[in-house]
Amino acid sequence: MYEIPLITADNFITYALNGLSRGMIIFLVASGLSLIFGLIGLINFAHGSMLALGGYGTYIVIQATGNFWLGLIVSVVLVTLLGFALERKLLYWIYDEPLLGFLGTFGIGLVIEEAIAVYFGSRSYTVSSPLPESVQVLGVSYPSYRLFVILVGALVALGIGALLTKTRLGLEIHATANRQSTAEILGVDTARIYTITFVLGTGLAALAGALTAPITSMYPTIGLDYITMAFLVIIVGGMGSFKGSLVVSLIVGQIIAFGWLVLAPTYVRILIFAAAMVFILYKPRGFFGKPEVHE
Amino acid sequence: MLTVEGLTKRFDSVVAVDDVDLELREGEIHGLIGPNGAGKTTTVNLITGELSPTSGTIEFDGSDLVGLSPSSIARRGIGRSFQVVQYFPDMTVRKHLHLAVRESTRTVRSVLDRGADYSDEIQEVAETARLEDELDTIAKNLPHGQKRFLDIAMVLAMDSKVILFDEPAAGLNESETNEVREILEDLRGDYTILIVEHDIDLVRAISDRITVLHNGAVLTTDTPDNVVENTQVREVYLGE
Repeated sequence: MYEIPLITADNFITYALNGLSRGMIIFLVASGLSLIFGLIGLINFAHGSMLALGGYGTYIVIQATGNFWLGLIVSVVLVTLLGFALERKLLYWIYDEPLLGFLGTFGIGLVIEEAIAVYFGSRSYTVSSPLPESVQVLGVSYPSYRLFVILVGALVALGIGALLTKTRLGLEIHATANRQSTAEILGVDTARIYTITFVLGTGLAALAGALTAPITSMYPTIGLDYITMAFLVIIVGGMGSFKGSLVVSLIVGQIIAFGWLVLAPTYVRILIFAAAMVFILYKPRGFFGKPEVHE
Repeated sequence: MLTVEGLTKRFDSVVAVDDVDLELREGEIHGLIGPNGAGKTTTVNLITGELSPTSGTIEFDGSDLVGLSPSSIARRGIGRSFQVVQYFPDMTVRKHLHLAVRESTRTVRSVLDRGADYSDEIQEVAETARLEDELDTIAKNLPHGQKRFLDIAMVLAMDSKVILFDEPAAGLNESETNEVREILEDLRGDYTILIVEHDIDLVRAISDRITVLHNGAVLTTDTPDNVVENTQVREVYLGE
């Protein structure tokens, strides 16, 4: 019979930090998805493939140079540029057609996923941690790299939060999300706001992919796994809510970290999705029901 | 300042605006009147870029506006208010005005720095639009009349050279209509104004010239007194 491991103070901290780092990765993916949906109303099924490209791009650069940090920067920049090109040359023209947007991004995601599978095969790849040492946290030895991921996630959360609530750009994003035609007549270049938001969201997905590469193995459908979790997060958090994405991502991260103590990962996922379905039945608009970039 | 020539807009077989010529002289208040369906709002929408003309030119400060986006036209100095008040329900009056105030050049700083202090401009505009006591009120909580003033205030905050008011007194009571009239009088000379309005007394009282549209075409452009005396106008618009 399976025995539930004893949770001590030490491994509780370790599991909690594991949950936090995983939650931050999910947050990076979900926040980008949420921004794009909240502003443009586009359900971007290609978002997961941007994460996959971020991870595989980092791997390619590491193979060529041996430098993880260079890989992270190069892959995030290139995938972000790809997002820019996709938005300007394709998606911009189909924003008014939700079905086309859905099918179009789904198709783009499939093409990228299959291209990765053709080039790399179906086997998994791993990347060595660029920060292999551990440090003491609350009396527990914990991998530096995972702490780095938590730090990056926290900085991104603060940065995006400040961007949305403290800058004129945030005000313009809020206005565009609320009433695009009114924002336009006030001189807000809403096409530019759409582009900035889509590119920002894509960059966050690529960053998540690059950061997760040393933590989990990479496989062609990794984007699909993350995007399903990200969709769950933005639905439970409240469609278009940045705050909701952060809170629910961190909760899901903890459920995964502690859930794996007692259940196989697949069952943990099933449990999370079942809990989310029940939650949505009682609170259909999620935790934070509408975009609240400017309160 | 703003010259419209041969402006035409067709929706399939319907000609909504038919070969309209319109000239707004610098600093004037120009009324645009006509029965329902005469093409007044369509003309405004064509000037602001929300609709593309089938043919014709719209020249402003020496350049053609046809084909430009609404935001681009707004940034060139043409602001408008709407027949149905447009606002952001959950934003305060102050944030509305902050959004509308903009620097003439777009710099990285102007985009990122929301702390840029526009308080003087915002205060001034709020006072002109009778909203100085409502700056921190959430827009959806304003009574209808003040929502209309907010619409006017946003256009003023943009510091446009030309302002197109589309029925600014719609839905207002007599007292509020008088306030709108006072606001427009305050603006006289500082802006070039086109006002679309059903309240003929209001238009007659404040306009320097009036253009009458009928079935999408210009019936006449003249001084208010001459327009009111015009036999054709009396037939098609005043029903006499």
